[in-house]
Amino acid sequence: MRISRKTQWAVRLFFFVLASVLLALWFKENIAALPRATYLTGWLLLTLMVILTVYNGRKKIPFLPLATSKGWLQFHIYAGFFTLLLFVAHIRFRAPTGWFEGSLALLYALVMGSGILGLILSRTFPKRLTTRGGEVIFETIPVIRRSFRERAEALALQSIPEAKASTVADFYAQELAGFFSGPRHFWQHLFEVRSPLNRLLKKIENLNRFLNDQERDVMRQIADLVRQKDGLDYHHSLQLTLKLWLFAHIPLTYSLLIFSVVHVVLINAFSGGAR
Amino acid sequence: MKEQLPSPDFNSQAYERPNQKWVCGWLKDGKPCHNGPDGGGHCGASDECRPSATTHDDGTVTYSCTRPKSRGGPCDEGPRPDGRCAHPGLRCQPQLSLRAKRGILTRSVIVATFALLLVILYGSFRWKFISPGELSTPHSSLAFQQMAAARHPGNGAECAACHAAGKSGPAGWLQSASVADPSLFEFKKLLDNPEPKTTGIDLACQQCHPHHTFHEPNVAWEYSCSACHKEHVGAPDLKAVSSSHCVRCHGDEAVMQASAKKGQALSAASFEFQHDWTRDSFKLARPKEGFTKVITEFAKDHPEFLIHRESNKDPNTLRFSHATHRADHPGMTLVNGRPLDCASCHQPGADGVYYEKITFEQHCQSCHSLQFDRDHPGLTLPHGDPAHVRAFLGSLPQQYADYAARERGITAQEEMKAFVQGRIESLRRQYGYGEELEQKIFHSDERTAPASTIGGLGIDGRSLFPGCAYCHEVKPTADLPLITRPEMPQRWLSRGRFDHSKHTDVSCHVCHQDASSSTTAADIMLPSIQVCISCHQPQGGARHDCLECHSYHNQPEHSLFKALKEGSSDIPVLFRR
Repeated sequence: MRISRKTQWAVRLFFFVLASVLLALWFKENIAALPRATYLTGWLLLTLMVILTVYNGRKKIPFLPLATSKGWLQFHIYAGFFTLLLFVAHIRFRAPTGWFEGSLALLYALVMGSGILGLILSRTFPKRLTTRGGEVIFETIPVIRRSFRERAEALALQSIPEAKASTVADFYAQELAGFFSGPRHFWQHLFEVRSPLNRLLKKIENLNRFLNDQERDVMRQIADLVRQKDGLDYHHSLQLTLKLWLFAHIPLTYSLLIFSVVHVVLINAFSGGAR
Repeated sequence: MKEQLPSPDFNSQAYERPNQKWVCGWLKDGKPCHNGPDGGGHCGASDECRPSATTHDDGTVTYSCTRPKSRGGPCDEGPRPDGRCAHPGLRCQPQLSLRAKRGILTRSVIVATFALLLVILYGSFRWKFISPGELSTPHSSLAFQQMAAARHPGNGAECAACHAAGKSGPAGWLQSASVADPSLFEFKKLLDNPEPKTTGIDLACQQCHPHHTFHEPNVAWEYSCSACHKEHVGAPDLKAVSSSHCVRCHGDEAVMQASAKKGQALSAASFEFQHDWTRDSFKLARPKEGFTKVITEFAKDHPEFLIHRESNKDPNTLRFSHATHRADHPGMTLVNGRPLDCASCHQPGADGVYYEKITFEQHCQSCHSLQFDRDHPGLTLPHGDPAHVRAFLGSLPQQYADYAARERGITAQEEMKAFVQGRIESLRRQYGYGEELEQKIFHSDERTAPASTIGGLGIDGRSLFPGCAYCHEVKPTADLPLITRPEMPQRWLSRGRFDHSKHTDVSCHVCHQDASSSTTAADIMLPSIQVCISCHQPQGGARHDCLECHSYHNQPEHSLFKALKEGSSDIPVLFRR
């Protein structure tokens, strides 16, 4: 029997929540009452953060038999969420005060937030890309875009001698050259806004009234290219976003680790047991 | 929709490797070169082929194209006559790959973080920056700042007043962290559950709080200051201590037994305790085992108040009946136009926490004037000292003369003489001669008093004086009678704190239920613990933590604040000016 992905997720979520509740109860009974419970949660949190950070390094040494990348990712996700529980227990359910602790908490929130954002993006964008159609390697997008542009330009130029009119070429130069020259409508694609494409197609449709049959045939081919280019931009927009969130998550993680190490030193140096 | 995009032109030889640091600069334009840049970011563009030379028999050299099939095979143009490729590579400025840019950003952020921390931690802002929160009011006061600055001149004085690490910079912090208990990597100790005894930082507390004595001398171990008092959490919270710290000892049978054992070896005098040294407290004998019963929660297992555990009696010798002073008691008249109630006599102090002492002048005299001559309410006996009474009686003619001048306006000598003689004669008729009068005044009870009726005589609501023994215990002696002074403690639950002002929502009778039926001053009309528990429990809505009534520290009369206020010599040297 094949289990659907949604069911798999529900089962995983259930076990994660169950494990979290059991751990929280165990923590409350056995650890929370200890006078140095905050130290324990702190060290555990730091250790887990270091392990989570190592995931980035693991990707750089794929030749070593250190479990599968998928396994690491799953661990990264669940352990990441577990740090949230640890963090809340560590700060004892109160908002941190003071500049340093505030900065530390803010960094944690940013890393956690960017991680959750990344998880949401990596779970939803592939589905959206599949729904939109096509399969494009991100690095080849400029090459494909160029081929679209060359084909569209060729069609526009081709129409001049055939139709003995420059209407299509002029329209291309005025309305479409910019569209084909690079990635367009980044934010609209992110939020599934189709109006820019519809506007262009509407303009093409309006132009068709003034074209003869030959030009109309050329225009139909150009319109196809416009749709393909729009799909390519869609891929570019979503795939780039899938890469860009890491620009926040990874650097902030290292910043968080540095702050955490300083935090450890400060806490021990200024603690009750310090001499 | 799927047909909108072409299938990827998957050429294994031209396969993109996003992990590579550099990409061809022409990629942006959609036409990267085949070679791509090298690892150092140098353009790797080259001619499309290196033409092969063929030397003929006549010595001429011809060139042929060697472009591989994968790139389209030999070109139509062929090499140039001089042997150069007809399709020279276009050089570019290689671009960093997205991944490489991310790496640079990451390294930049790491460096920036280090730089930021170094600048701040070695700068003058460092103490404010590392402070985990606002200091409590006393520790952020000007007096504390001046004291700290005097002891530790320079930046960070406030921190150095408590923290040894506050005397040094980041390098010193690392050293302090390594010698702390537990130190940086003593993970095993983190799992221990030691008694929270005095720690390193507590020694700093005791420099300014040298009279840091504990609530009982038989305490099993000295509790750490910083375990209870959480600093750096803002103004009002330094004194807010969780009950869990109390239960840490009082809820532990072993600790309580150790405490009881220790207490047996100490003298009774060392246990003298009083919450409020400014008020008289009812003295209760300390139980043999001390206060070492296991307590985990007020509503659950707190023992009954000590005052109720044994049949204690109020030692007050005053002959006073609360029941007789009820407004509905037969013959009770209005007092100052109002029916008598609790507030007629029991009045709170300025802060409303405790009630003021009952005094004859304020609370009794308005009804119980010491008027001994039924015809002259303005002439009353002095209260407080039998010797004064005797002196008053010995000078009775003079007292009448003064009275005549004061109250009647008689100034003529003959008229005054007649008035005085008349009054003396009248008294003799009523009570006999001087000694008899004195005996009756000191020893008579209501039946044989000079004026036995209470209430309704004289001025409205005033009674006549029935004799000292009517209210007091009077013991005859060879000379002056001995009148036992009434002892009226102001504090009854001396081991705890009580604030009447917080209980004004309930009437007096809710707690002092026996007051209206009490007929003797020996009755102790304090509520039982169950009355308190009815509200002071989780379901009752009122606070039920230990600190609501108790405080850990003993002898507040030695507190720093009191010493500062009174200019006492007990002020620590640090705070003296």
